[in-house]
Amino acid sequence: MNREETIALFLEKAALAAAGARRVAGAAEMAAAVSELVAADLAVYCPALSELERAAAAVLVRRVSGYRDAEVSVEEVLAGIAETGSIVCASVEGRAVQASLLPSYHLALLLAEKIYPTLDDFFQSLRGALPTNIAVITGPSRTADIELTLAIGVHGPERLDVIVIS
Amino acid sequence: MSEHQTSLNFRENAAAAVQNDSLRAAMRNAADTFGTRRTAAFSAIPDLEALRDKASEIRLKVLDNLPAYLEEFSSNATRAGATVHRAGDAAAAREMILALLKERGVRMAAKGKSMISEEIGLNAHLQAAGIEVVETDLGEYIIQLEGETPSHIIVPAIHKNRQQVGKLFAERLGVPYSEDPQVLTKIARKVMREKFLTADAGISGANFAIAQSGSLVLFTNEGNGRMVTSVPPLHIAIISVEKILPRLADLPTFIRLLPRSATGQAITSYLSLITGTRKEGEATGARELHLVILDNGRTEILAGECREMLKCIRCGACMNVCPVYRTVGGHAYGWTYPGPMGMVLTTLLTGMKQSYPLVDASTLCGACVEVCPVRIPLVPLILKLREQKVREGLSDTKERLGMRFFGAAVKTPELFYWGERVSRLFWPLIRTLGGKDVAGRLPEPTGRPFHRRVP
Amino acid sequence: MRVQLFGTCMVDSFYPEVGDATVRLLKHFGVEVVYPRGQTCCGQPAYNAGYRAEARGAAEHFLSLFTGSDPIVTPSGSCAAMVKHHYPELFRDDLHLLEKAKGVASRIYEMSEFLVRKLRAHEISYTGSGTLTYHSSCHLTRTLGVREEPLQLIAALRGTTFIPMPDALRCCGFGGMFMAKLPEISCALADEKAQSIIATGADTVTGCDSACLMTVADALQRRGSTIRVAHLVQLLAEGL
Repeated sequence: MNREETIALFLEKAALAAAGARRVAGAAEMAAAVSELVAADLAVYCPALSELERAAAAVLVRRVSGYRDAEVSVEEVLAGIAETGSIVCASVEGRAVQASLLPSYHLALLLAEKIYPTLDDFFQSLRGALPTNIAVITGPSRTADIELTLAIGVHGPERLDVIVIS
Repeated sequence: MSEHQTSLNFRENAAAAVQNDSLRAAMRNAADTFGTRRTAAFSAIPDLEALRDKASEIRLKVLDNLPAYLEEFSSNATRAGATVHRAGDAAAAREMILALLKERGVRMAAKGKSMISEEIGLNAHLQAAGIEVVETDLGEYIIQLEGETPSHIIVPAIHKNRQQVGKLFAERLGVPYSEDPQVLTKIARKVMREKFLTADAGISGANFAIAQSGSLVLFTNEGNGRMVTSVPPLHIAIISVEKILPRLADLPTFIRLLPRSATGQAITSYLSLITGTRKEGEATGARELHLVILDNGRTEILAGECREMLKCIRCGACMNVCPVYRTVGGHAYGWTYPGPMGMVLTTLLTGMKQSYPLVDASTLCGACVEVCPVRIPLVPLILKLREQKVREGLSDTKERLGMRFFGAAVKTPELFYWGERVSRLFWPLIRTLGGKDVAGRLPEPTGRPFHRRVP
Repeated sequence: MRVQLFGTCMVDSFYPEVGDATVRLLKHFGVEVVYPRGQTCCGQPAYNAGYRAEARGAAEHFLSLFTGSDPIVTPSGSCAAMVKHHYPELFRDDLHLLEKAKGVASRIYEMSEFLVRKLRAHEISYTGSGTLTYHSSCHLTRTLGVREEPLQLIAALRGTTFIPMPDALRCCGFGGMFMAKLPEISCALADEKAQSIIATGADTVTGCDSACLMTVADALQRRGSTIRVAHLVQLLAEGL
């Protein structure tokens, strides 16, 4: 699978898991997409640690400092896995993995070159001492506990969007 | 050792369940839905048989080298900041966990779904000691409100329909009645959010434990599993010894098999890899992580002829296809684990004397064997347990005598044919004595058996 | 060609017409049918209930009657499965009998399997009529892997319209001793099977195992249904 196919598979699988998945070229297009997706009146948490996050933060109107009070969390994620359409968050660089868990809307920024083709590729990449928390996230939270009827949005985010930047 | 086990009443439980229309409807819906979803999910997997072979191989490797892997896991978990405790049995595990919570003055613990915690009767023990335990998984929360136990290992409240859940929430939470699962889920989200953020401790299980890195692996959908294991400062995880997988590289095989086998999903919304406690420079992770590794009879099972049962990865696929489980639901089995895996594991863990009616709860149709992702030979295991039951003298007297006659008759044609003649002669009596639901279902024996008419 | 016929205890006592039809069919294809005298039972009722010694006794008796190298044919999926898959295991500790057990295991066939694979019996036409549905017995399909052959034979019944049954593969609830030990569950399963059959609208239901057909017949009768229950060999023999 080449890079283009990997990205295409990622987008397809993410969408199947009820995640909004789109692709943009470059930080400017990404910022435009963020601006479109995040309503101006929502309280947004964005750690602004990476270059991409800083570009996103620039277009966010109502930023809050803590993810616990945020309705939206905008952050760059560590990696993606095309096979399942998953994003990966981890407790590296002082990042709070709960930022992808507590707010009701999680907007993930993912560099295309960080998408692993398969689960094997991702798990084989884990070397040395692992960070305390690695979360492989596929779509928003959900349950089928009542009559096996799917309900999206339980304790974790009710909405997940992924912007793939290539 | 077995908490409130009622397996000895299996037949009575089952007979009552057969008459329970709402239960039957719920179970039918479940079985049909699971069947469709599983088939659809596996249609995306090109070589399912090779994947099952690989999974079985990995699990057998673990069983063949369990002490070494446990050692490797413990040492790596400890190095990452966890404190590892080994609990020989249920009582030891309960005591350990209670002591940890009491020492830290925990008043309320938020709990993720854990079948091991059900096996050891943890909640009741903690609650009796004055600690509030809140089940945060929606299905577990529902049955906690109802005061019931899980009836399925993946979907604990599967025996309930939406009207029952709606009524329960309205009565116990004081919310307006709704039977819409979306609405009910949002109610649970609101209730639970406050619990997660204020709990003094989180208690969870784990689907797997990776020896190579000392990590716990949790497959969850709701997000409560992530909450419970990362928000409170103290995390206590309880797993059983055989949950080990050797390497991180072994995970993909199980990621491809477990969610599809369980719910028909390609992958759960969340896969958490938890390795020790919060490290220098990190902003996520429990400050204290205590891993309780439970034996509770597994080392003994490992040494016996039914050891392959320990390959089980708790997917629930077997109960989803079992005609008996479908008819009677999970509570009839009388303990933590129902369906085919439950029949075998319960008997192995709690002993034949407490469980023997369960070994009969199968028509040996083999549907379970067809779907087990790790190729547990469930039918041969059930047969072994039946032999054990007979050896231990736990069979019905009538049955034993009948089998003795049968055993003589099958070797002696004259006796066999005499038996046929006598049956026919006394058929009305046999029919009456045998009842309409047993002898009454057989036709009247022929006056001219085949052996007398064949040329 | 010559075969040895294993009638089965169910056929002997309750469904001798199935035995008659089996012989008639085999003879139609020019097969010489040998019926070893003194047959009793394959032993599965004891085996499945955990009575290994009694099962072994039945198996030893079977081995003493079915000698030589001719194919063994039986109109029962569960009995064929017992001999094929469990006889060798019953004698795993007896070198001499193990050889014999492996021998019979290698040459026993369930009837529809034999008809199709050895006699190409599905390639001729049989007179049929009405509408027909089929119950796939558990041991026949899952243990022996005989899935297509009965359907190929049904397709050869000209004039019969085949209607597949929903949940054809779900167990009928007989399960040997199960039906006697847990009759409540057994009857519930049999009733569900009857409902599946009735839902097809077919006037006849067929199968390859008399125990299943017996269970199904009782369940249909309890529902007041007049759907005919007949073993596949009967339908084929009638259609010759």
